[in-house]
Amino acid sequence: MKFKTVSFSGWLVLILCSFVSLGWWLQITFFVSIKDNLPATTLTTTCMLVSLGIILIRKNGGVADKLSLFLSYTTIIVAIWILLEYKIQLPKIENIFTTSHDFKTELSQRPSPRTLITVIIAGLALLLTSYKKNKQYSYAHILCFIGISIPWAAIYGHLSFFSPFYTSMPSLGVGMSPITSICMIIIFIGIFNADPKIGLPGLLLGPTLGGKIMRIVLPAVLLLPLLFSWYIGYSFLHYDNVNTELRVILSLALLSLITSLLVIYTGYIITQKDEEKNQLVIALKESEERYKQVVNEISDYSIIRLDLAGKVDLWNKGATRITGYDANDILQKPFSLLYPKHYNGKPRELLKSALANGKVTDVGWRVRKDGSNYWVNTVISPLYDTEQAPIGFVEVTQDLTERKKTEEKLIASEKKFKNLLHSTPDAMVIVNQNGKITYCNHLASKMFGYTQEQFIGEPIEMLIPERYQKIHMQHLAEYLKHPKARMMDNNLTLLGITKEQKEFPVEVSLSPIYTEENEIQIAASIRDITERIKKENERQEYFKNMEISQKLGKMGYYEIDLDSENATLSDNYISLFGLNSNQSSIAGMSGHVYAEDYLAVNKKFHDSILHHQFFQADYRVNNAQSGEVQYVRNNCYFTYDKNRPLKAIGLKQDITEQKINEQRINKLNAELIKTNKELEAFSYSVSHDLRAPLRAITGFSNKLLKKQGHQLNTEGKRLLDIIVKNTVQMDRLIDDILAFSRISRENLSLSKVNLTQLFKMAYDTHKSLEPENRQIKFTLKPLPDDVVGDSVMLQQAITNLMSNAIKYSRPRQESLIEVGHTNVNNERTFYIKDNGVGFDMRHKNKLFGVFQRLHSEKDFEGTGVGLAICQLIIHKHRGEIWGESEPDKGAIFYFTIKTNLK
Amino acid sequence: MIAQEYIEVIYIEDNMADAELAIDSFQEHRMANRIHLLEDGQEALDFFFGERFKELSALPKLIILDLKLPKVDGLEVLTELKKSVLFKDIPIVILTSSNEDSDIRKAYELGANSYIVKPVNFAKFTETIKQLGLYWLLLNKPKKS
Repeated sequence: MKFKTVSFSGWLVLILCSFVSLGWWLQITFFVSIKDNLPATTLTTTCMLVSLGIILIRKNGGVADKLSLFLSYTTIIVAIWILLEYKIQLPKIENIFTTSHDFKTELSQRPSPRTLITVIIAGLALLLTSYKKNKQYSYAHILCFIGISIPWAAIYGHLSFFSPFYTSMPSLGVGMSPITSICMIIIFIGIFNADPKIGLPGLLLGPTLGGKIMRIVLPAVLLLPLLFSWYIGYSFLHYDNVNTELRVILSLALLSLITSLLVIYTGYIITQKDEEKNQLVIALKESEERYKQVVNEISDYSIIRLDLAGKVDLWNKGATRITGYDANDILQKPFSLLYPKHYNGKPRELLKSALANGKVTDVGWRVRKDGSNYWVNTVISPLYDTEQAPIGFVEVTQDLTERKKTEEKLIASEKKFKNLLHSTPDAMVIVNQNGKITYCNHLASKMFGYTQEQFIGEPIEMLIPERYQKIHMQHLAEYLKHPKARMMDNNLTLLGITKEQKEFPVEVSLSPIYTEENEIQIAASIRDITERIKKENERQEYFKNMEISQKLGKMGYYEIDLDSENATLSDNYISLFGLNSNQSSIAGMSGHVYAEDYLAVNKKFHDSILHHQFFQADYRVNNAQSGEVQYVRNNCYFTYDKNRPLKAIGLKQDITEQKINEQRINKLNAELIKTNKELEAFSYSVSHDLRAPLRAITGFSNKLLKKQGHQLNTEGKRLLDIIVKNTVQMDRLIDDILAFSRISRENLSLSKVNLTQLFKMAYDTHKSLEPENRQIKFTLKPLPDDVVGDSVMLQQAITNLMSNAIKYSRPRQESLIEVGHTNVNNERTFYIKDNGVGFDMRHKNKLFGVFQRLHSEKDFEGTGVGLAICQLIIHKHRGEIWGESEPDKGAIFYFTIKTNLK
Repeated sequence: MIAQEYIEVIYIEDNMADAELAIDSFQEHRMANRIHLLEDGQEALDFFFGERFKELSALPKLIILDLKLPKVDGLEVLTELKKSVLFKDIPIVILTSSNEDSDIRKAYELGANSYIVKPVNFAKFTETIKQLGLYWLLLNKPKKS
């Protein structure tokens, strides 16, 4: 705990008060009043002193606490109260401390008015020092001066036994006791010392010459009169005649003697100190001069001194060099002249800040005398006098314009560099020698998913899948040994890995960068080639498919640049036509065109170019390797720039096989035509040559019957009749066969066919051939009118079907024949239905066979060709025909027609 | 030999059976007693364009021609006859067993006056011959030469 005069004085008061209390308790006069004939310190006074002592102890230099304030106010109020008791009848507070009711005793227990006034003054002074304000401290000190004079006089009185100095009522024993006086003096000294830096104590305790003198003179001036008054009071006590004036004169004479001695001593000391000071000042001036010279000679730095207002009062060569101002130009002018106009107020702020912080540094622009700017680094420090009071500033300025320019260039170039890196289409990462990332651009963080901060300082291996990290480190070390720019290598596909552990293919190019410290760093530019690889794969796939398609189609793709006449050929082209390189020319391509075809093809090619047409030609070429003749179909189109042909792009197809097939087909066709002709000739001769004998048989049978009939018996006639009948049947067969073969040879002549009419006609024709009494109910439902076919042929087919329907329903009482159309398997299907004898579905496969019959000639006449002809006709119409039946339950025939007009 | 011979009908037919039956039929109905039968195309051409024909007193009223003939085809004979100024007005009836459209068409194109398919049925055959004779020899008015 630090020693403090304030609290020490408080404690001292408390100790003295406890002695007083002890004195009252044990009836020890010395403790209460020192001597019997002096007034005693009352208990009330003691209490007030104790409270003042406590306040002092609690003082800590700051604002007083609540208890201190309370004690201050209470003490003041109590003191005023008791003071008023002397004049007015009031309840007697001092009775709290005593039981005596005797007025005299009572009065002697009351603190004297001097004591009370002193206490009030002390209380007020303490209150004033309760707030940390210099002005109130001054008032407090004034109060202290006033207050301390009272106990001072009292002590003076005690010592010289001169009662008016300590009491106004000597007869009543009321007065300021010596102990109270001492306590009060201690208290006032304590209050003085509440803040030893302020006011009188500051002066007294400070290092100033005045303070020093006060420390020597004051105790003497204060204490010596006391000693003298005691001496005079004590030595002349026995002489009651010695009056007051003598005592005062004696005291004053002694005092004057001593004071003179003190003044002489003081004068001596002051002279001595002044001399010391003068010497010091001279030394200081010399040193300042030297310092000024040194400062002046410094030309690298501008060193100027400013007064407190910022006016220049010292100017060195450096300042002249840097600013262009001569000392004469600038001295006594504000240093803000050196600052650019727009720095408005900044010079003053700098000075303020220098004062507040002891030093200020600034970097910025300044203006030369000629108006040009320069870049400086300035340090401004305040200058203090010996009392630590600021008296000015020194400003040291370094011209950094050149350095600033270099720096700016550097910054600009760095900025440019960074911008460049940010604007590159690739991710950029810079790695130092230790493989740690020192820089990355936006794209890099986007590509790998790390923020830029997460990159910096991390090993580059974090961007590489774990399994490659080791080998990468080796690569890096290897690279650092022989650093050189390395471009993206298409063949070297590397893998990168993102923060999310997603791998992707990358392409990396490296280039070494040398830092200012000549340390090597590696700039890696990284490109995500996922898309490219995908596209490349797709492209390869596409080309592969193209080649496959070409192979499958026996085609070769080519592109001819019509300017340079250079041709690019697909792989399949060269393999198809026996070339040996993908590069050729028009000459190379046309060189193997078959000689006979060359002129025609060449003409057509050039005509196509000229007329902006597609070029298509079939011709022959000689295989460039084997020389074999190949048939090709060449298709191409041309691209133009306006009218200037640029390119021919086409496919050349090897159609040798087709050609051979075509030739084979042509040959077959020729053969077929020949066969057909033969067949025609055959049927011709059949119709002629086979019929003639038949007619002869019937004719001569008849002739025999007519001319020789009378010689034949019945049996002979019957046999002749059988011969004739069979001949007729034979004739019918021949007719049908001829019809069948004619139909199979004939081509369809298509037109809209009225089926309704055809059925009607067929019915009418066959009905008329039947006996008159035959009952037939013919129902013809509406039929569509948009059927297309060969009406002659369809007439034949329908006639045959109708003939069958009528023929096979002959056994019925009433034949029911119905014609209509329906939908079978989503196809429009016509039908003709009868209620005739029908057929067994087991034999349905024989229905449409030539000469195939399901009924005997005896029951139903016929050749077995009718339905075969029907089927032939319907098939020619791309339709189908089929029958459904059950024996004796009628039959139904369906057919479809699918021909249409194109 | 026989001076000023008159022949009413020239019948060109290689099939002797047919020829006999047809001639039977003509004679049965007492038409055309003077029928001259020629057995092939060459013989027919020889007859019309040779010495023999000059001996005839008049042009025949009717020529019945089969198409399928040995040596020279019936259509050729037809062509030659219709080319000839002398014979082009004589009605020529094609009597054949061919029912082929092409034959019918060609015959008419070459100027045949009628086309009859020989019925196989004997009764119909004789009836046809009868009708043919009636029409061409009795009803039909030939162009006056």
